[in-house]
Amino acid sequence: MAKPLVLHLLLLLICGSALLSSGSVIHPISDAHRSAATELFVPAADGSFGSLEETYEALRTFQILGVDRSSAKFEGTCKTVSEKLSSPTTTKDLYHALKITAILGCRTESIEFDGITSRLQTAVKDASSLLELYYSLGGLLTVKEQGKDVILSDADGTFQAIKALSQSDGRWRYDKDSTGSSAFAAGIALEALASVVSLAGSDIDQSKIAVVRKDITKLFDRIKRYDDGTLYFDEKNVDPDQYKGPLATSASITSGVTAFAAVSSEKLNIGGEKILGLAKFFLSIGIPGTAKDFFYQINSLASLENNRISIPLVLSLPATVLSLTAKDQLKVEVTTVFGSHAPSLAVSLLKVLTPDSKEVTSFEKKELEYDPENRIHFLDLSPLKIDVGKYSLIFKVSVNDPEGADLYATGDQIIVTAFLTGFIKVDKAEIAVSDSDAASESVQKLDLSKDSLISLSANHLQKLRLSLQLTTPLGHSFKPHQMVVKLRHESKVEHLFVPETSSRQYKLVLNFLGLVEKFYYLSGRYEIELAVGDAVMENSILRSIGSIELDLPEAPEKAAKPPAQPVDPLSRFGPKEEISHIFRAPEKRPPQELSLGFMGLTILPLLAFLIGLLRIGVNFKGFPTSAVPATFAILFHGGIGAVLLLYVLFWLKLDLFTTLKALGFLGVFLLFVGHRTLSYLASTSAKQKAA
Amino acid sequence: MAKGTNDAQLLIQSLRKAYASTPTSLKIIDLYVVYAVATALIQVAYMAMVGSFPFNSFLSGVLSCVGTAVLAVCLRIQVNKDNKEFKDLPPERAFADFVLCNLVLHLVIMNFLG
Repeated sequence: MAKPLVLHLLLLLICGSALLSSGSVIHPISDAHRSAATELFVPAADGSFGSLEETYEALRTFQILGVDRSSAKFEGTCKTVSEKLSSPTTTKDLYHALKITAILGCRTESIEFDGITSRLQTAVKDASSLLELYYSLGGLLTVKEQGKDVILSDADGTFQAIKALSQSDGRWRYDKDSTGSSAFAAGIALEALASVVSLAGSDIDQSKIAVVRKDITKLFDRIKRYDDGTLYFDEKNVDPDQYKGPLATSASITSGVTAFAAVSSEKLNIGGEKILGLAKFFLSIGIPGTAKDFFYQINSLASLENNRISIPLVLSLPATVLSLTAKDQLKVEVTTVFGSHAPSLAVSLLKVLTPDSKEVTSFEKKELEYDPENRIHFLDLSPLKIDVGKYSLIFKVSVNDPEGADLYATGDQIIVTAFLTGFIKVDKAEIAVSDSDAASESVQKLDLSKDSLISLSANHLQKLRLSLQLTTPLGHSFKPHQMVVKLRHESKVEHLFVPETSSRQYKLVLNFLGLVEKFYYLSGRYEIELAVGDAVMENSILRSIGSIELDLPEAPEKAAKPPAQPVDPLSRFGPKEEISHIFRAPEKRPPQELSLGFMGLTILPLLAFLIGLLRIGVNFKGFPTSAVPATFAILFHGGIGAVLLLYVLFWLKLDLFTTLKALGFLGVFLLFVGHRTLSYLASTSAKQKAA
Repeated sequence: MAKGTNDAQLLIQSLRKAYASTPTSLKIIDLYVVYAVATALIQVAYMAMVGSFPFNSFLSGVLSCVGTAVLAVCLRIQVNKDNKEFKDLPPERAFADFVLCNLVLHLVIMNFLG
């Protein structure tokens, strides 16, 4: 008996400081993630997902999740990527292109790796910023993993160059000239340092690696914490365009730290609960909405799944609502973050707490049994005699193998919220009408399991009493979230009442004398409806129990009117009656014959004018006889005639602008011609006067 | 009474004699003015009968007659040799003014006619 206890204590010590992690619902990565990934990362027709970086992120996510990457579309990707590798591009593009080649397993015969290697080695030598070093070193490492021989010429110098950019608080700068440092850059730097160590082999001085381990410890001092034990990194005092957000920062640091832990011979001094906290942070996101967030989440969890510090194990409940009636078992799964199976474990339920944090004393610590077929730990609830309600269950997970214990991080106490539902019995349901002096009562028993309806009648001097008892499956009195009695009049006016509770009973007493005004003096048939509901009640009640004929006195003049009931929406928003428009009656016009008659009458003065002209003795003697002036004279008269014709056309169909345009031309012509004609006439009359 | 009519008759006869001596060109202009005013009167009579519904048309018609009559009167003043004021103005120039102003007037009238 003592030995398991000692073992238990030892495990406690090894697993680190006690941490109470409470009930946020986290689940390991499952098929839901895989289908979300295929929906989120949609390749274009040529197999790319946008830029090279985005393509790499998509393919890496598919690789980790095990989504099929062998589709024909990606052959085109292989081709475009190998073209990129042979053309001169930036180090960043080279890095992503090499990674894509590795993920897709593209054919590498056509790729000239020597040229690429020398390009990357030059980039390492000439690099001036952290990102350049990161991409070039990462590229070289990918080439080495393809099986090619890669030598890093000045490993020590490169290591020093990266280390030189570190700050004393564990963060890193992006290059020598920038003043701001960030934790995101720290993650990148650690990954770059890990690449240097893998490329250089045993050339790196171990003391340098020890210094970086200290930097990592300082970096982890900046970690932030939620109440439930979730841990994450965030940036402070960073430029707004440099700010990456908690997910990106935590992802970068996770990748960097796990990469460095893999190459460091000594174990890093980070506790398992920090790794577990980071794992919980990434899992608590659920299914991310953007491609970038998805990549960060999945990539970080992949680094955590197989890291050398300690592998996080998560406890999750497939069902948090357990039914006592159906005799559900409490089922618990403990897996890695990707849902792969954990080593042999012991899961025990330590305590059961009610919502106000009181312990259910009848419960003693129990260890859950293990079902190896479904890999689930389970516990039968019925022998435990726990009543319905909402509970916080406190679990403890411990690894059975003491040597493997420090490889895994399980956290100390894990709190999960669960609901135990059950069938609530309704006892002693009664409804009665009594006189005000409580002398006589006509009691009717209600049987809510049957569909029967009761009918009562009362006047305003009487009282109505409704009472019932609710009992849980274990026999305790039950207090539901909601219990309401509704009285509805024929005219749809409703009144709600809440019964009072006392010791074990719920009772509602309606004294109609006091309620007459509230009921708007409406007499008639009232339907009684009962509603009883609770989250843990499997048989919630919402039904009509009968009706009561109420006889209330007449309403006095100043009484309040019952409120207007909602109008049938179809009548309010349905089609309306048609409107007939009244148009302005047209003006009365004179009869056409009269108008035409007067038109003829208007021509008469013209005729009279012409006759008068003849009478006076008009002649054309002044008309010029010689050729040129005669033409001008004719043109002059013709021009005036043309203008008048233009006016007639204007009235008939032209608009003002065309008329003015034409008038402009005619006017100029007329002026010229008229001037010639009239000056000729003037000169002839002057000659005549002189002569 | 007889003296009154006699006087009127004498007056008309003397006016006639005086008028006969006016030059022909002026007589033509006078006749034109009488023609224009007569047309205007006929239009007013029509409007009085049927009401002024398209009022713009009525105005347009009447004002064209009145306008052209006014312009003709101006021409007569300028052309009359007995008028000392306009001694130096050649009559062709006055005629040119008359034609131009009439064309502008009729453009406006046609626009307003509707």
